[in-house]
Amino acid sequence: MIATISDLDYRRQSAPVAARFDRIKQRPHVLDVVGLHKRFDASHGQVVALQDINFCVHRREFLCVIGQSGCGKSTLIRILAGLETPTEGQVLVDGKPVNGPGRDRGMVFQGYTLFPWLTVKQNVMFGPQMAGKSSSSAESEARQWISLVGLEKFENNYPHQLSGGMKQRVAIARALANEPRILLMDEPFGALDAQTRAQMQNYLLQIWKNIDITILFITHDLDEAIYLADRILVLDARPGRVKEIIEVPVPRPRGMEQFIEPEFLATKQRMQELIHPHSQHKDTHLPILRMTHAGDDVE
Amino acid sequence: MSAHNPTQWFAVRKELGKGPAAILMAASFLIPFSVWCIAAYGPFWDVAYEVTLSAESPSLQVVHVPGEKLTEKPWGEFKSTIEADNAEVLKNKEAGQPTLTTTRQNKKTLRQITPAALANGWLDKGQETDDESIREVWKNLAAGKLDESDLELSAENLDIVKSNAAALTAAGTEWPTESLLKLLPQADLKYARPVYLIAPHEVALSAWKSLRAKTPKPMADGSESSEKKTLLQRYQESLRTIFLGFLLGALVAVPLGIMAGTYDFCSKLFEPFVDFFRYMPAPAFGVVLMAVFGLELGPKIMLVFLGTFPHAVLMVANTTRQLEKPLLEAAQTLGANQRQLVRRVVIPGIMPNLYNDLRILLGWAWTWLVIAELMGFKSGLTEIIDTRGRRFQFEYVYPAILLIGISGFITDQILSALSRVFFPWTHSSPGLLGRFLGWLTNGIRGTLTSLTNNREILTPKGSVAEPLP
Amino acid sequence: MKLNLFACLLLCLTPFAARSAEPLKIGYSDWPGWVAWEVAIKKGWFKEAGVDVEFVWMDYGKSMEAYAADQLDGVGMTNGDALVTGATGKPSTCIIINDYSNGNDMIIAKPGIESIKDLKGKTVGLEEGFVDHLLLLKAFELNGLSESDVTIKNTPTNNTPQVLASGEVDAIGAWQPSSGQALKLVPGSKAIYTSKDVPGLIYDCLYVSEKSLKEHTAEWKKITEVWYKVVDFIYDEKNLDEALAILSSRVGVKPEEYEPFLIGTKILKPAEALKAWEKGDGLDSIYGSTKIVDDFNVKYKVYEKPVNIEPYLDPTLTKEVLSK
Repeated sequence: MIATISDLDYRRQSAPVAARFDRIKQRPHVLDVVGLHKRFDASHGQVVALQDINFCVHRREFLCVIGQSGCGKSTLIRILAGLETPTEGQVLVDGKPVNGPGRDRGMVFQGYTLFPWLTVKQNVMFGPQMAGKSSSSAESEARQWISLVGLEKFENNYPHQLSGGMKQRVAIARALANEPRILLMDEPFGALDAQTRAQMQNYLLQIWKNIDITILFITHDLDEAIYLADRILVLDARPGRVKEIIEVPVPRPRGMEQFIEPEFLATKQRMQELIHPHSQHKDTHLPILRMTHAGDDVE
Repeated sequence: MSAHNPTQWFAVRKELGKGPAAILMAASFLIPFSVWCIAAYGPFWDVAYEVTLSAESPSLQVVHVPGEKLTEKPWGEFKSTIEADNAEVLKNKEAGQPTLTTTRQNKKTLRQITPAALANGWLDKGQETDDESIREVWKNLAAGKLDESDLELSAENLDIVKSNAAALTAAGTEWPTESLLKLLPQADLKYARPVYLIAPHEVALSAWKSLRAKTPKPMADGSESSEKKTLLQRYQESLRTIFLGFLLGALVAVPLGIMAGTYDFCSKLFEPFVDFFRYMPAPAFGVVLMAVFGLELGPKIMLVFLGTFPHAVLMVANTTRQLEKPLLEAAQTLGANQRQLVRRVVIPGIMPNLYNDLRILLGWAWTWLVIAELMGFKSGLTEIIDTRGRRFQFEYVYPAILLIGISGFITDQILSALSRVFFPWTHSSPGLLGRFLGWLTNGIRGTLTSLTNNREILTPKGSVAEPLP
Repeated sequence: MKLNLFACLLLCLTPFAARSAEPLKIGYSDWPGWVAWEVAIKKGWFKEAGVDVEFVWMDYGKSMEAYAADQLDGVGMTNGDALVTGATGKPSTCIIINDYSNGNDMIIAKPGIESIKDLKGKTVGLEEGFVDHLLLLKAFELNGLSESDVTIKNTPTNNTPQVLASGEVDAIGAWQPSSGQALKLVPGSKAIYTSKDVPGLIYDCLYVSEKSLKEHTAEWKKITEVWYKVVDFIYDEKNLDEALAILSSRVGVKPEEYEPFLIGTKILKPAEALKAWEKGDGLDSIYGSTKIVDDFNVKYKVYEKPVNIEPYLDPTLTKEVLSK
């Protein structure tokens, strides 16, 4: 298997894919990250979480950020959201520097952050209301976003009555209701079971296709990243640095069947190399310690 | 799980089913209650003499009154003292030097028959100090004209009655000057339970009586009678003390607590002192509170306040801090400013826990009640507990104590159930009352919705209402 | 809504904010000589006399605290306790001598202890620094004992019966009705010393604050008049039953139980009161008694320095009322 795909270079793009990337690159930058550093003071001295991060996201582009756990993905997205301040460097949205959280960047968190005391509808109305919209106009907007994520029937339910996937759909609707320039998603499907997760990925792609939104999506799941993204930013761990930005050669529209196509596998292979560079030949087997004599027919 | 699976009563951290749970709940009350019953009705106690007819003697240190219980030895001494007094009178009489005494003393001697006279219907209530009527009773009894149905006089005492009646007749309309014979004390045999051990039925009876008691009439001149408000009036007083103290505590503690939990500035500014202050027992400030707030309601409320508010501030602050931070961050990314964060996220977010805190706070307020009500003028249920307790009238004390316990318990249960109604978005399990209330509100809500729906059908949208003729 | 609640609360708290137009407040406790005021209260004699006065029923110790905390205009105290309250809290002036204790104050010992001398090495529960402590010390002095011969446990007088019954102490000092309760509660216990052995050691009086006396002299005079009406009433045998009923109901005992209390409390008739107000060195004069108590208190370090007893005693009103 490895032999077959190693022939294919993940950088080789088919003509439609290459054309698509050309178009994307001509679009204006929604997000610019310039020379970003983040250092924390810890008990054992300074920890460098992010080192010299530079990248941009074009309008309506889908960018995934991937990396090992602890590589600073969450720190990065929190800085982008304005929930943390960088030690050095700048974040620009539409060319304007970011200074704290703002309506121009919607965020979907890993955990469930719906307000439990508000119904689905009221949760989605929250952003518009904060912006001073009247509750009637906020309500009609909210309805629209709720139907976008397909939860009209549940608009008067409280979050605790919803499944995990539904909660995240509401969270997406809630973030979109503010009509942000960019949607920041911090491992939003991490807590869901595999099936729901696949479903949610499809939902997300549909939504992304239907509205004018740019998405920055953090994940540690290689398949998810390749399936969703136009480009994938691979973060190195300790210190968090940009290792490579991969242009995904898999054509759109995406489907689950593409998971076994050579472009997909080649990209995945490359990402594996980047993320776990040394793990391939070492310790792939556990030491053998036989503790059973019953039915040796398991292999 | 098979249907015949027997209930496993002891399984580590396994919840029992509804049936067993209900049984245990009942048992948790029944066990203490039966301990009480066994102690009260069980045959563990010595014999006691419950005085039915009493007598007085200068040689006795105390005056025994009917209803009092005496143990063997004091009873023997009591009786022999009176016998000795009578013997002395008889001896002097035989010696020709009758013991002289005051009219009042003789009247008092005769009055000792009143318990029997009242029990047997020889006298009406209110005639206890009507000496002429009592005198008639003695005479009639000696003449055998009265029927001893309920309280029988002993043979010795009937002799004394006859002897005294003779003396009374001899004196004509005047009162005899020589000392009359005293009735010998009589008693019923009872168990000598400790004074504080009152049988359940006696407590129930006294509670029933106290609850049904009518408001005492003000004195003729309009001044209030010095004693005896009814149990319910006292209960109201106690409720007022508790409620106002709690309210004051909550009004101060909740804003402070929320501020301390929200702003680190406030936390650092308030909490260290409050934390220090809470270790100082509130009753220690009793005299100061009395000096500042007088003797009426003021110091009592303030004591409840002081006893509850420091804990409440810390508790509310902690509750506020426990609001999940991601909710605040989410709100910020949705564009909420600092003020909106507090108003739209922090406050609604902590509501259910705050409500629980206040429930606990109310519970604390109850525990301060007795100490509070002892400050200045005693008031409320505590006055019963304290004053009656000192007089060993525990049959009045226990209903008051029980009333406090029941009130606290029931209030808490109701509040806990209501929490489900107030905060439909929490997960807490409803409990019996909660389920009932939930059913009730759902029912009402349902009815309302169906009503409004009907109206919508009747007046379709867009139609203009007809002006009234 | 919040504002409304707050307003309600403020409203409820106002009673103790506005105290200006209030009646004279007198604290009285369960001592029979003070319970006697109950006759006038029940019969509405204060209203009749046109004086606005409120009698406040309290525990003895609490009533002195409340007086010291400026919450009362007057309070029933013994002459000795007035000195103690004055030295440690707030001075006061005696305007009426209600009675002297004639047996109601008792040192009660559990069975087996027959006399004061037997108390050596034992434990006594009483209200420290106050009247029955004085009685005990006096008894010790007359029997050649000293305070160090016993251990004193500070006990509120109302609680002494239970304390004696608990067996924690060997004797208590208390007055009626607590002393009577103790005798009943502990069979075989005995009063081994009573105020009858030292009549005049304990005078029970109405003490008022200097300020109130100055500002409300006329009212206090009327109160004095009412008191002597009460005395007349109680001493008239035909009223005795009614008086006993009133007094006994205040402390929750039966009238016949209360009668001995009145014997143990020598309520002073006008002539006797005037005599007690005469200056003298013996216990038959309140001056002598108070001086003796003062010496006692200093000797036993209840307080440090002798007190000038003159300002504590003011017979003017009694004399004015009784000379009529």
